[in-house]
Amino acid sequence: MPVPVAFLVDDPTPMLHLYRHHIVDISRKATLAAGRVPLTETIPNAFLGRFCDVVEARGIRGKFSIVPEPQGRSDVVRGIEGFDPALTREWMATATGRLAPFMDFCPEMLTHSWAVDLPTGKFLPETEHDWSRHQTRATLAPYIARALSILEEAGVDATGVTSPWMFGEEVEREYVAAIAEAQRTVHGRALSWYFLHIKDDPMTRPWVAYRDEGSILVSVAACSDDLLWDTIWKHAGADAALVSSLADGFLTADGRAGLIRRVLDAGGWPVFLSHWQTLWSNGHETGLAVIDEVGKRVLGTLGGAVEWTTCLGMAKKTVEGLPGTTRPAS
Amino acid sequence: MMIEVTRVLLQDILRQGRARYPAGACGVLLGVPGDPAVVEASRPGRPASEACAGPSAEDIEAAGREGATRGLAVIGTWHTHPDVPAEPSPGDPAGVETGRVTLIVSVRKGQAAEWACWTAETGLSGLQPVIVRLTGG
Repeated sequence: MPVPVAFLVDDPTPMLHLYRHHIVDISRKATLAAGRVPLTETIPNAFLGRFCDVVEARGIRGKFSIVPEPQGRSDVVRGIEGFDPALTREWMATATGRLAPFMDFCPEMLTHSWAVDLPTGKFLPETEHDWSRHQTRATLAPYIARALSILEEAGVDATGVTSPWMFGEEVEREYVAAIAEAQRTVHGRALSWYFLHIKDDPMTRPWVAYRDEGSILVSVAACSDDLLWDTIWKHAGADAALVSSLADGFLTADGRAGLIRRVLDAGGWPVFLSHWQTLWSNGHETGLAVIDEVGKRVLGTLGGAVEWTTCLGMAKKTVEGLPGTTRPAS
Repeated sequence: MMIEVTRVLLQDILRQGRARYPAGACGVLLGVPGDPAVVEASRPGRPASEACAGPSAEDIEAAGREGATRGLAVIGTWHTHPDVPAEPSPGDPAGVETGRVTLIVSVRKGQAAEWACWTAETGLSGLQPVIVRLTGG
């Protein structure tokens, strides 16, 4: 049986460079570090097209977040504030049209920024992460449902949920119940998944985090932090030697070393994580070139030993493989 | 320049950084000056300003007064960089007095990703790296 492998992409949204917003508006660091060039304010639609090219060419599967109300600047239905609404429609059409055969979609809460007061639509004075720390399923479920509903209105079937930052970690028992309830309410979906955890243990596989009479929720954990994080600032190019070197962290050209090999050898399921801003690499697209190379190496060296799988696909395999068992959420 | 810090104290600083993420955390390092300077305690602080994530001058002064009662001096400060590297940001040099250090901890996805220590030296612009020797089990 081939081992499922998945690629998780955090933080995509039309046009906006969400990470730059975090640094400038939330962490209050106008530039990242002395001597570093400023980050671009936007990520152009054409980049999404090039990402789709890579996914299609290598058959990569996993999940692709779409932040529905990025930074609270309107939403993906009405168009991102400050831009021609046609650009948002174009981005969404590309994402849903080209990625749907390969990627599960999910919200990353509403704004991936300040939390929103649902009745008024106004920002609360804390990030979604901090807000989540003192919530229960009664308040989390409508918040998640709101995110799912916006994506549904935009034509996106969101099969799971991704946590911005570590959203929900400190109230995870409430959080998982809320995700299950929101998926039932919005989509009538009984089996779903969420991404919150990064586990350094190479033996990690997805696990059932919540189960009740009507729902099963599977936790899909990444087996490493984003190995390409430094491409946000540190690499001003995408030459072959650099790309090959960075790809080695995932899988060497001979398939004998790297994160994916370590996880396979340990008996885990390789689930690796990247971010929209690391793939963009401040316009150099270093990260995207690395993922292209990794996809090529997976196909060329691992062959039938692995099978690219979406997060919902992993959830289905997890439930099939572990009948009647439930691991606690925390 | 070199400082010594116990693993226990460093772990406590990393823990505070994780707990405050994605907001930042900061504090004052107290110890015995010298080369190496020996860090023996940390006191929490509040960020000096939006541009400088290190503790305010008032917090440094208060920590210094507290340390003096135990025979300890201010060795420097520490602060976190949520989701950015443990390298000095443009506002950091202004918060570091010559001869003192600042320990920067990068926190990502709620985990301490890396840390590095820096100092301001007479005649040199920007901050210079400091060697950190970890002690204790």
